[in-house]
Amino acid sequence: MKTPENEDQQSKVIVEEFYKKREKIQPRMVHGLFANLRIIAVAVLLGIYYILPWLRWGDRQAVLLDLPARKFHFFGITFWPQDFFFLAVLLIIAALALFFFTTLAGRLWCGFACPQTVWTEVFMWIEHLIEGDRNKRMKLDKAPMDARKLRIRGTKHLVWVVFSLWTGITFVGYFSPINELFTGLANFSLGPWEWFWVLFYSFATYGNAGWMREQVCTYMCPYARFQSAMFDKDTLIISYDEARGEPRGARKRNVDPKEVGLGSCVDCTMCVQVCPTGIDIRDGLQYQCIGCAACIDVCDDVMEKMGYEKGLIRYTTEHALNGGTTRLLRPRIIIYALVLLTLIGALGVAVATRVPLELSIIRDRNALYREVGYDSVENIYTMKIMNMDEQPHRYTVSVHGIDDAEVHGLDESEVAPGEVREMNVRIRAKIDNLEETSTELQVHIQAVDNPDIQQDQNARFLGPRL
Amino acid sequence: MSEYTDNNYTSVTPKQTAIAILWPSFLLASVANVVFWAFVDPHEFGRITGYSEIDRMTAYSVGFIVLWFFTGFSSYLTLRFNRPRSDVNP
Ligand code: SF4
Ligand code: SF4
Repeated sequence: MKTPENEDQQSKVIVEEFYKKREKIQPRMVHGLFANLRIIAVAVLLGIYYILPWLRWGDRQAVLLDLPARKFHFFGITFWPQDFFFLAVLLIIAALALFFFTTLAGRLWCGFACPQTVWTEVFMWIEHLIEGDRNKRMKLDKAPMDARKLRIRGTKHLVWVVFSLWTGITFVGYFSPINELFTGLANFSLGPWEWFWVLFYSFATYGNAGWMREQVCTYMCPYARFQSAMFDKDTLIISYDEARGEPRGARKRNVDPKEVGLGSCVDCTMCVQVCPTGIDIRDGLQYQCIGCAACIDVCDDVMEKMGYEKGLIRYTTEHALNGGTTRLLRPRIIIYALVLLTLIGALGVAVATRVPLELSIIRDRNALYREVGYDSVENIYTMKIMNMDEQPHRYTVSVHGIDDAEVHGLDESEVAPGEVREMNVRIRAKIDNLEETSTELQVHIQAVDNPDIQQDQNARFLGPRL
Repeated sequence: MSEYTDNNYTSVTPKQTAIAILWPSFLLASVANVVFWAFVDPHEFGRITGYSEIDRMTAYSVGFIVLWFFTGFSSYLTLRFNRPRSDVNP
């Protein structure tokens, strides 16, 4: 029965589970297929991260998000805040990709690509090198602080800090030219913001990968909280095959499990020892599981040693575990994939055909039209030209839609890169050439030195009642 | 029942409460800050509001702190509204 009292008790239990004091987790190193895949993922991702800011394109840094100047260099292209649309599409693609991969095979992102996992992995390798394997580390944890422990711990933290600082400097190197950054560091002439962000990012790396680790995933990550909503019965998730494993129990290597009434699980607890989040996969799917597949690797090893079939813990689906067949290519997956591919294609085309020029033309709403002489009328417009190229350009403006219409008041001087040139222009037309009271005009603008850089905009032209 | 005499939420330390307020609001303030300054150039903002000569980096940073304050306040209210009656008025 649901009384206020046991409801209270329930939430009490939940609260305690959420916020129980953390016990330090010392995962055992694993080797195997998925461990290798992770090594590759870490090497590739961190390789890109640390090398990218050093690449050059022409006489500047290839990837530089210059916030103070509000321009974003990406190899051959310079984006401006006006290109926000591209960023929005990119974020939509990223979100969709996350949906796609989560529906396909659970938390692939968490296990192999999330910065939290990737940097934690490196920090754990460093820890392993300096402090030794799991048993040694646990012994060291228990040992009283003495000269030896101080030395080992000190070395570890020193290496961590150096690595974090390198990470922090690289991070700021995406926003501020990395060469100058290093010179500035060397002769202590960095600006306050640079210092702040270098230290901030270094500290975040050190704290998250060194100290917080799985707690970031369990308590802080939004994705971890809603990823399971994307699962369905055909999602590949890492699971323990309970039907095959139970009843678990220790046995000699050459004993037939059936004879002693046991399942395949030898209860060696290796899967628990390797788990970076300290859970027991045999208790079923838990939201703490980041899908790192370490337990698969280690369990396969054990199965091999025992001479059993591998895959007691494996990527499988709810359908398969319940004796059904798995349908990987289901409508959901196909739709996600199609939308994803379309968006990626569209973004690619949009970026490739992007014209580094923006034009806006707005009719002055305060005046209808002005008669000029006895045979012409004039409309006034506010025209804005934005040069989104990296070179300055001069532009020519022409109008179409009314015969012999002319533009007056143009400022045709050079527009600097990133500059927005605003001007009041008058378009003049002969009354005889007007066929309607309101005519649609096409304003065409084109760079003098490069006919590929051009834009068109429509505008209304008002005249007297005919 | 005796071991559960104290209130549900007292087992959440002030530190955890602070994190629950500051962390989600930090995330959202970051996003909002990026979106806002993507559409508004601090120089333009300075011209409109009369604070001319705003340095862009300063504008981004101050904007973030202001937004964080608002999102943080929202988190705080959520936390308050989410309390059981008994806890608000014991
Ligand atoms: S739970 Fe969140 S922080 Fe942890 S690995 Fe997954 S995405 Fe990254
Ligand atoms: S249960 Fe297995 S897959 Fe999940 S986090 Fe632990 S070791 Fe990784």
